Amino acid sequence: MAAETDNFIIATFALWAGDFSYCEQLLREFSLSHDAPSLDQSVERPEDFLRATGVLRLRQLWQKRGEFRKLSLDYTGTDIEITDKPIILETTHLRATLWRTGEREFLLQGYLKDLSWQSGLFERAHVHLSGVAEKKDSILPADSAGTQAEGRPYMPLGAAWIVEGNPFIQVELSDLGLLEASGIWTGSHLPESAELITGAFHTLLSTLDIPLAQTSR
Amino acid sequence: MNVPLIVQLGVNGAVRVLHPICLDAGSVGITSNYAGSYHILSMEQHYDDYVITGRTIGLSPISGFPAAHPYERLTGKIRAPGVTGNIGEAIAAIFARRVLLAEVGDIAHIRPRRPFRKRKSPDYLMRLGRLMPGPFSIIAPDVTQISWPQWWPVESKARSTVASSNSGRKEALKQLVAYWQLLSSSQPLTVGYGLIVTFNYQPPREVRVCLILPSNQGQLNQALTQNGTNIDDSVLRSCLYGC
Repeated sequence: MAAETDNFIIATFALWAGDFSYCEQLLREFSLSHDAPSLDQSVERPEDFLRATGVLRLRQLWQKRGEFRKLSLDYTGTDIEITDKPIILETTHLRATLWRTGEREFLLQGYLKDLSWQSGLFERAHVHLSGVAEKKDSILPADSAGTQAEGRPYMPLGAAWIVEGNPFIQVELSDLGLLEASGIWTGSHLPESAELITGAFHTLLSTLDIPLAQTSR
Repeated sequence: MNVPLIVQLGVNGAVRVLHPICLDAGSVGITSNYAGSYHILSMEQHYDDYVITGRTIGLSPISGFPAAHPYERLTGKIRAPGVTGNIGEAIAAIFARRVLLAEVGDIAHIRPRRPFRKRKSPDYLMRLGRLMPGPFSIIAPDVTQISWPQWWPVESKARSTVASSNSGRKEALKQLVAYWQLLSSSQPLTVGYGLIVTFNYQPPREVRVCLILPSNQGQLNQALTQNGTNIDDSVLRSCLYGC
């Protein structure tokens, strides 16, 4: 069962990813639908800190949105409009932003929009780790992550791997279930539409959102 | 990079060594991008440059390509406090996930990111009640007498020296006092509990996690009511284990 505070935690993930509209929606539901206190006054219970932080984040978000609009005015009238809305990719339990960070470089930042999928996400990532893993400093095989064998260090719960193809994608999943995937378009000419890029990243996200039993059929 | 992990009762009490914790560049990079207060785009590279994580020697070897590390580029530079601050804020979440076995939904990052204001909220609130005492059972006093609260305030810091880590823990304790003060009238049973996580990132490296527990909760609540956050260190010593 989802905890009352899940919306706040997912909102912090959305803000990290730059999924501003979704962050705003979640914080409005969590903080503004209740009588959130200020951090400067006495609070009734620890959860009130989360609500108060939510209100503060909303104010900070609105302020930054205003600044963005002023700064982006310099570019009105040009062929391409600057926007604060990245491409959003979604699967049943995951959500992600996709940014163009360079001429040929793209960055996906994904997170759990349903925290009950936490175990599924890590299990799926470790399937990749046992396949085409990127070797990382001190990372042990998947079966050792998160378990504490005698004398062994507490290892990362996440994983890192690559997805071959064009775009070529390097993926990393953190302990908190935050997903970063950097893609580079390797063709000599850029694609004529975004679909070739978004499709590859959406496929990646989808592979992390399929129950293991379903993939083994 | 495997770092010795120590748990301690209070900031001066009993100490025990746990298994080390792997603070690789990837984990610290993404987590500090999420939890850090400063906008820094490549925390993974910064972290590796600052502390030499072992990332370079962990890369799959290519014959003839050395495992060269650019550490000496720091010549004539200073480590950016924002970078080390971001690293510090990440460590508590990593510890909670791997060692306390907290779920993703148990870790709420709430640091206000409001400069120039006296801080009244900790870096994190973590829902740890059902997970306690966990690894702290080896240092905690009679755990059957303790009523573990559900939500715990957690402060997380990175420092370069043993001395600055010590002072960081004392500073963090004051921040916990500010949190307790806000709850002392409505939730007196939650007062006196917290975690302080410090990462000493230059040799001798260590992650130290201090378990803060009340030894005299009634007196601490009384002191908070009477004096607010201006509580004398001697009062804290008499009201908290190992402080």
